Amino acid sequence: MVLKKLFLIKIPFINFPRRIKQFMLVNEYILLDKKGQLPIEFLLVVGFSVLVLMPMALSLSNAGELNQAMSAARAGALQGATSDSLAIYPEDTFRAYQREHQRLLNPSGVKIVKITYLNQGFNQSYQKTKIQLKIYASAPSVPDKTDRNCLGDRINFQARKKITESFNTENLTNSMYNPAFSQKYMFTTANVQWQ
Amino acid sequence: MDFVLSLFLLLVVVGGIMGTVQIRLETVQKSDEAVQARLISEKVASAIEEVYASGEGHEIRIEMPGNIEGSPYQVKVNQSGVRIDVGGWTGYSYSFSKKISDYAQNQNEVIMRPNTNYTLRNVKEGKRNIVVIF
Repeated sequence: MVLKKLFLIKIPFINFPRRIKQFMLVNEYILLDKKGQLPIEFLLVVGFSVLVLMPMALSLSNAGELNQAMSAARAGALQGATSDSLAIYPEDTFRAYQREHQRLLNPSGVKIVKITYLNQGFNQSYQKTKIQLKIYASAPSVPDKTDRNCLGDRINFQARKKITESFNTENLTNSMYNPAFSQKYMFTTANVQWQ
Repeated sequence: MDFVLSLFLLLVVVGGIMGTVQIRLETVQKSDEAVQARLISEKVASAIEEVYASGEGHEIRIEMPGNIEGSPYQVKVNQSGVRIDVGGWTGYSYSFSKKISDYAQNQNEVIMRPNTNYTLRNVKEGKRNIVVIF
Protein backbone atom coordinates (compact mmCIF):
# COMPACT_ATOMS: atom_id res chain seq x y z
CA MET A 1 0.00 0.00 0.00
CA VAL A 2 2.83 2.35 0.90
CA LEU A 3 4.66 1.52 -2.31
CA LYS A 4 1.50 2.10 -4.26
CA LYS A 5 1.25 5.58 -2.78
CA LEU A 6 4.85 6.30 -3.62
CA PHE A 7 4.33 5.72 -7.31
CA LEU A 8 1.07 7.62 -7.48
CA ILE A 9 1.54 10.57 -9.81
CA LYS A 10 -0.47 13.49 -10.98
CA ILE A 11 -0.61 13.33 -14.80
CA PRO A 12 0.28 16.78 -16.16
CA PHE A 13 -1.59 16.68 -19.50
CA ILE A 14 -4.70 18.76 -20.02
CA ASN A 15 -6.77 16.70 -22.46
CA PHE A 16 -7.54 13.62 -20.45
CA PRO A 17 -10.09 11.17 -21.65
CA ARG A 18 -12.82 11.06 -19.02
CA ARG A 19 -12.25 7.44 -18.28
CA ILE A 20 -8.69 8.21 -17.15
CA LYS A 21 -8.51 9.42 -13.60
CA GLN A 22 -6.21 12.36 -13.02
CA PHE A 23 -4.44 10.45 -10.24
CA MET A 24 -3.25 6.98 -11.07
CA LEU A 25 -0.29 4.68 -10.81
CA VAL A 26 2.61 5.24 -13.21
CA ASN A 27 2.34 1.76 -14.69
CA GLU A 28 -1.43 2.22 -15.17
CA TYR A 29 -0.77 5.41 -17.11
CA ILE A 30 1.92 3.79 -19.22
CA LEU A 31 -0.51 1.07 -20.19
CA LEU A 32 -3.15 3.61 -21.20
CA ASP A 33 -0.82 6.01 -22.96
CA LYS A 34 -0.99 5.59 -26.71
CA LYS A 35 1.50 8.25 -27.80
CA GLY A 36 4.53 6.59 -26.23
CA GLN A 37 5.52 9.92 -24.70
CA LEU A 38 6.15 8.84 -21.13
CA PRO A 39 8.26 5.76 -21.81
CA ILE A 40 10.71 7.85 -23.84
CA GLU A 41 10.89 10.55 -21.18
CA PHE A 42 11.16 7.95 -18.50
CA LEU A 43 13.97 6.16 -20.33
CA LEU A 44 15.77 9.44 -20.92
CA VAL A 45 15.58 10.32 -17.22
CA VAL A 46 16.68 6.87 -16.13
CA GLY A 47 19.52 6.79 -18.67
CA PHE A 48 20.71 10.24 -17.67
CA SER A 49 20.51 9.31 -13.96
CA VAL A 50 22.63 6.21 -14.56
CA LEU A 51 25.17 8.23 -16.52
CA VAL A 52 25.45 10.77 -13.72
CA LEU A 53 25.16 8.44 -10.75
CA MET A 54 27.77 5.88 -11.83
CA PRO A 55 30.77 8.27 -11.98
CA MET A 56 29.43 10.07 -8.91
CA ALA A 57 29.26 6.83 -6.92
CA LEU A 58 32.80 5.93 -8.03
CA SER A 59 34.10 9.37 -7.11
CA LEU A 60 32.29 9.29 -3.76
CA SER A 61 33.72 5.86 -3.00
CA ASN A 62 37.29 7.03 -3.77
CA ALA A 63 36.86 10.21 -1.74
CA GLY A 64 35.38 8.24 1.16
CA GLU A 65 38.28 5.79 1.12
CA LEU A 66 40.87 8.57 1.10
CA ASN A 67 38.98 10.37 3.85
CA GLN A 68 38.95 7.22 5.99
CA ALA A 69 42.68 6.72 5.39
CA MET A 70 43.50 10.32 6.33
CA SER A 71 41.38 10.04 9.45
CA ALA A 72 43.19 6.82 10.43
CA ALA A 73 46.57 8.46 9.69
CA ARG A 74 45.66 11.39 11.93
CA ALA A 75 44.61 9.06 14.76
CA GLY A 76 47.83 7.04 14.35
CA ALA A 77 50.02 10.15 14.29
CA LEU A 78 48.35 11.38 17.47
CA GLN A 79 48.95 8.03 19.12
CA GLY A 80 52.61 8.13 18.10
CA ALA A 81 52.93 11.67 19.42
CA THR A 82 51.31 10.64 22.71
CA SER A 83 53.72 7.73 23.04
CA ASP A 84 56.65 10.07 22.33
CA SER A 85 55.33 12.71 24.71
CA LEU A 86 54.86 10.30 27.61
CA ALA A 87 57.99 8.28 26.78
CA ILE A 88 56.06 5.02 26.88
CA TYR A 89 57.49 2.73 24.21
CA PRO A 90 57.27 -0.90 23.06
CA GLU A 91 59.71 -3.02 25.03
CA ASP A 92 62.32 -3.56 22.28
CA THR A 93 62.35 0.14 21.42
CA PHE A 94 62.72 0.96 25.10
CA ARG A 95 65.80 -1.27 25.34
CA ALA A 96 67.29 0.35 22.21
CA TYR A 97 66.75 3.82 23.65
CA GLN A 98 68.35 2.78 26.94
CA ARG A 99 71.52 2.08 24.96
CA GLU A 100 71.56 5.01 22.51
CA HIS A 101 68.93 7.67 23.12
CA GLN A 102 68.54 8.03 26.86
CA ARG A 103 67.05 11.51 26.48
CA LEU A 104 63.99 9.91 24.91
CA LEU A 105 63.23 7.96 28.09
CA ASN A 106 62.13 11.26 29.62
CA PRO A 107 58.81 12.80 28.57
CA SER A 108 58.97 15.41 25.82
CA GLY A 109 56.17 17.57 24.47
CA VAL A 110 55.42 16.44 20.92
CA LYS A 111 52.56 18.02 18.97
CA ILE A 112 51.14 17.16 15.55
CA VAL A 113 50.79 20.41 13.60
CA LYS A 114 49.20 19.14 10.37
CA ILE A 115 49.11 16.23 7.94
CA THR A 116 49.18 16.67 4.18
CA TYR A 117 49.19 14.18 1.31
CA LEU A 118 50.61 14.09 -2.18
CA ASN A 119 49.10 11.98 -4.95
CA GLN A 120 52.07 10.40 -6.73
CA GLY A 121 50.04 8.75 -9.48
CA PHE A 122 49.18 5.16 -10.31
CA ASN A 123 51.75 2.59 -9.28
CA GLN A 124 52.02 -0.17 -11.87
CA SER A 125 53.65 -2.77 -9.63
CA TYR A 126 50.98 -2.55 -6.91
CA GLN A 127 48.14 -1.54 -9.27
CA LYS A 128 47.09 1.15 -6.81
CA THR A 129 47.28 4.93 -6.61
CA LYS A 130 50.29 5.96 -4.52
CA ILE A 131 49.75 8.56 -1.81
CA GLN A 132 52.61 10.03 0.21
CA LEU A 133 51.71 11.40 3.62
CA LYS A 134 53.69 14.21 5.17
CA ILE A 135 53.30 14.88 8.87
CA TYR A 136 54.34 18.19 10.41
CA ALA A 137 55.14 18.13 14.14
CA SER A 138 56.84 20.18 16.80
CA ALA A 139 59.02 19.12 19.75
CA PRO A 140 60.74 22.18 21.23
CA SER A 141 62.21 20.19 24.12
CA VAL A 142 64.08 17.78 21.81
CA PRO A 143 66.72 19.74 19.88
CA ASP A 144 68.87 16.77 18.83
CA LYS A 145 68.31 15.73 15.20
CA THR A 146 68.79 11.98 15.69
CA ASP A 147 66.43 12.00 18.66
CA ARG A 148 63.85 13.82 16.54
CA ASN A 149 64.26 11.25 13.80
CA CYS A 150 63.44 8.51 16.32
CA LEU A 151 60.33 10.40 17.45
CA GLY A 152 59.30 11.00 13.82
CA ASP A 153 59.77 7.36 12.89
CA ARG A 154 57.33 6.36 15.64
CA ILE A 155 54.75 8.90 14.47
CA ASN A 156 55.02 7.66 10.88
CA PHE A 157 54.92 4.01 11.97
CA GLN A 158 51.74 4.51 14.00
CA ALA A 159 50.10 6.45 11.13
CA ARG A 160 50.81 3.61 8.66
CA LYS A 161 49.76 1.00 11.22
CA LYS A 162 46.40 2.69 11.83
CA ILE A 163 45.71 2.90 8.08
CA THR A 164 46.49 -0.80 7.71
CA GLU A 165 44.28 -1.73 10.67
CA SER A 166 41.51 0.52 9.41
CA PHE A 167 41.33 -1.36 6.09
CA ASN A 168 42.25 -4.82 7.49
CA THR A 169 45.16 -5.16 5.07
CA GLU A 170 47.74 -6.58 7.50
CA ASN A 171 48.25 -9.58 5.20
CA LEU A 172 49.35 -7.34 2.29
CA THR A 173 52.06 -5.33 4.03
CA ASN A 174 55.27 -5.98 5.99
CA SER A 175 56.11 -5.71 9.70
CA MET A 176 56.79 -1.96 9.37
CA TYR A 177 53.42 -1.44 7.61
CA ASN A 178 55.36 0.20 4.78
CA PRO A 179 53.60 0.76 2.46
CA ALA A 180 50.14 0.67 3.99
CA PHE A 181 47.28 -0.38 1.73
CA SER A 182 43.61 0.34 1.27
CA GLN A 183 41.48 -1.09 -1.54
CA LYS A 184 42.51 1.51 -4.13
CA TYR A 185 45.45 3.31 -2.57
CA MET A 186 48.90 2.59 -1.16
CA PHE A 187 50.34 4.94 1.44
CA THR A 188 53.93 5.82 2.22
CA THR A 189 55.24 8.44 4.65
CA ALA A 190 57.84 11.15 4.12
CA ASN A 191 60.18 12.09 6.99
CA VAL A 192 58.35 14.08 9.65
CA GLN A 193 58.83 17.81 9.14
CA TRP A 194 59.78 19.42 12.47
CA GLN A 195 58.66 22.98 13.07
CA MET B 1 12.94 6.82 -4.84
CA ASP B 2 13.78 9.84 -2.66
CA PHE B 3 13.50 7.67 0.40
CA VAL B 4 15.84 5.02 -0.99
CA LEU B 5 18.37 7.66 -2.10
CA SER B 6 18.24 9.41 1.28
CA LEU B 7 18.65 6.13 3.10
CA PHE B 8 21.64 5.23 0.93
CA LEU B 9 23.33 8.58 1.56
CA LEU B 10 22.56 8.34 5.28
CA LEU B 11 24.11 4.86 5.44
CA VAL B 12 27.24 6.08 3.61
CA VAL B 13 27.64 9.04 5.98
CA VAL B 14 26.91 7.03 9.15
CA GLY B 15 29.28 4.25 8.02
CA GLY B 16 32.09 6.76 7.52
CA ILE B 17 31.46 8.44 10.86
CA MET B 18 31.29 5.13 12.75
CA GLY B 19 34.64 4.03 11.29
CA THR B 20 36.27 7.29 12.33
CA VAL B 21 34.70 7.14 15.80
CA GLN B 22 35.94 3.59 16.36
CA ILE B 23 39.50 4.52 15.36
CA ARG B 24 39.44 7.56 17.63
CA LEU B 25 38.09 5.56 20.59
CA GLU B 26 40.90 3.02 20.26
CA THR B 27 43.43 5.86 20.16
CA VAL B 28 41.90 7.44 23.26
CA GLN B 29 42.01 4.13 25.13
CA LYS B 30 45.68 3.56 24.23
CA SER B 31 46.55 7.12 25.18
CA ASP B 32 44.71 6.76 28.49
CA GLU B 33 46.67 3.57 29.21
CA ALA B 34 49.97 5.34 28.51
CA VAL B 35 48.99 8.32 30.68
CA GLN B 36 47.99 6.06 33.60
CA ALA B 37 51.26 4.13 33.30
CA ARG B 38 53.31 7.35 33.29
CA LEU B 39 51.35 8.68 36.28
CA ILE B 40 52.01 5.55 38.35
CA SER B 41 55.75 5.48 37.62
CA GLU B 42 56.08 9.22 38.33
CA LYS B 43 54.08 8.85 41.53
CA VAL B 44 56.36 6.08 42.84
CA ALA B 45 59.54 7.89 41.75
CA SER B 46 58.36 11.11 43.36
CA ALA B 47 57.45 9.31 46.62
CA ILE B 48 60.90 7.69 46.74
CA GLU B 49 62.57 11.09 46.25
CA GLU B 50 60.45 12.65 48.97
CA VAL B 51 61.11 9.83 51.45
CA TYR B 52 64.84 9.96 50.80
CA ALA B 53 65.00 13.74 51.05
CA SER B 54 62.97 13.96 54.25
CA GLY B 55 65.41 12.06 56.43
CA GLU B 56 65.39 9.05 58.72
CA GLY B 57 62.00 7.70 59.75
CA HIS B 58 59.98 9.51 57.10
CA GLU B 59 57.52 7.24 55.34
CA ILE B 60 54.85 7.39 52.63
CA ARG B 61 52.12 4.87 51.90
CA ILE B 62 51.28 4.11 48.28
CA GLU B 63 48.24 2.23 47.04
CA MET B 64 48.86 0.51 43.72
CA PRO B 65 45.78 0.31 41.44
CA GLY B 66 44.47 -3.13 40.39
CA ASN B 67 45.03 -2.59 36.68
CA ILE B 68 45.60 0.05 34.02
CA GLU B 69 42.52 0.34 31.79
CA GLY B 70 41.87 -3.37 32.38
CA SER B 71 45.45 -4.45 31.60
CA PRO B 72 47.79 -5.98 34.19
CA TYR B 73 51.02 -4.13 34.86
CA GLN B 74 54.27 -4.42 36.80
CA VAL B 75 56.43 -1.83 38.50
CA LYS B 76 60.12 -2.43 39.16
CA VAL B 77 62.10 -0.04 41.33
CA ASN B 78 65.90 0.04 41.31
CA GLN B 79 68.59 2.48 42.38
CA SER B 80 68.21 4.81 39.42
CA GLY B 81 64.47 4.90 38.81
CA VAL B 82 61.10 3.25 38.35
CA ARG B 83 60.22 1.06 35.38
CA ILE B 84 56.63 0.23 34.46
CA ASP B 85 55.48 -2.45 31.99
CA VAL B 86 51.91 -2.62 30.70
CA GLY B 87 50.54 -4.44 27.66
CA GLY B 88 53.94 -4.72 25.94
CA TRP B 89 54.72 -1.02 26.54
CA THR B 90 57.42 0.24 28.88
CA GLY B 91 58.12 3.55 30.58
CA TYR B 92 60.81 4.73 32.95
CA SER B 93 60.94 7.52 35.52
CA TYR B 94 64.43 8.52 36.62
CA SER B 95 65.18 9.39 40.23
CA PHE B 96 68.37 10.43 41.98
CA SER B 97 70.62 7.39 42.47
CA LYS B 98 70.09 5.88 45.91
CA LYS B 99 69.92 2.52 47.56
CA ILE B 100 66.53 0.83 47.40
CA SER B 101 65.82 -2.25 49.42
CA ASP B 102 63.09 -4.63 50.45
CA TYR B 103 62.78 -5.54 54.14
CA ALA B 104 62.19 -9.21 53.43
CA GLN B 105 64.85 -10.00 50.86
CA ASN B 106 67.23 -7.04 51.06
CA GLN B 107 67.37 -6.86 47.29
CA ASN B 108 68.40 -3.96 45.08
CA GLU B 109 65.42 -4.23 42.77
CA VAL B 110 61.95 -4.21 44.28
CA ILE B 111 58.87 -5.34 42.36
CA MET B 112 55.64 -3.54 43.25
CA ARG B 113 52.53 -5.53 42.41
CA PRO B 114 49.06 -4.26 41.47
CA ASN B 115 46.30 -3.95 44.04
CA THR B 116 48.76 -3.85 46.96
CA ASN B 117 49.56 -1.20 49.53
CA TYR B 118 53.23 -0.34 50.03
CA THR B 119 55.10 1.70 52.58
CA LEU B 120 58.25 3.56 51.60
CA ARG B 121 60.45 4.35 54.62
CA ASN B 122 63.75 6.13 55.07
CA VAL B 123 66.01 3.88 57.17
CA LYS B 124 69.52 4.52 58.46
CA GLU B 125 72.04 1.90 57.32
CA GLY B 126 75.47 2.53 58.77
CA LYS B 127 76.47 6.03 57.75
CA ARG B 128 73.95 6.44 54.95
CA ASN B 129 70.23 6.35 54.46
CA ILE B 130 68.35 3.90 52.28
CA VAL B 131 64.75 3.73 51.06
CA VAL B 132 62.99 0.56 52.09
CA ILE B 133 59.82 -0.57 50.31
CA PHE B 134 57.58 -3.08 52.02
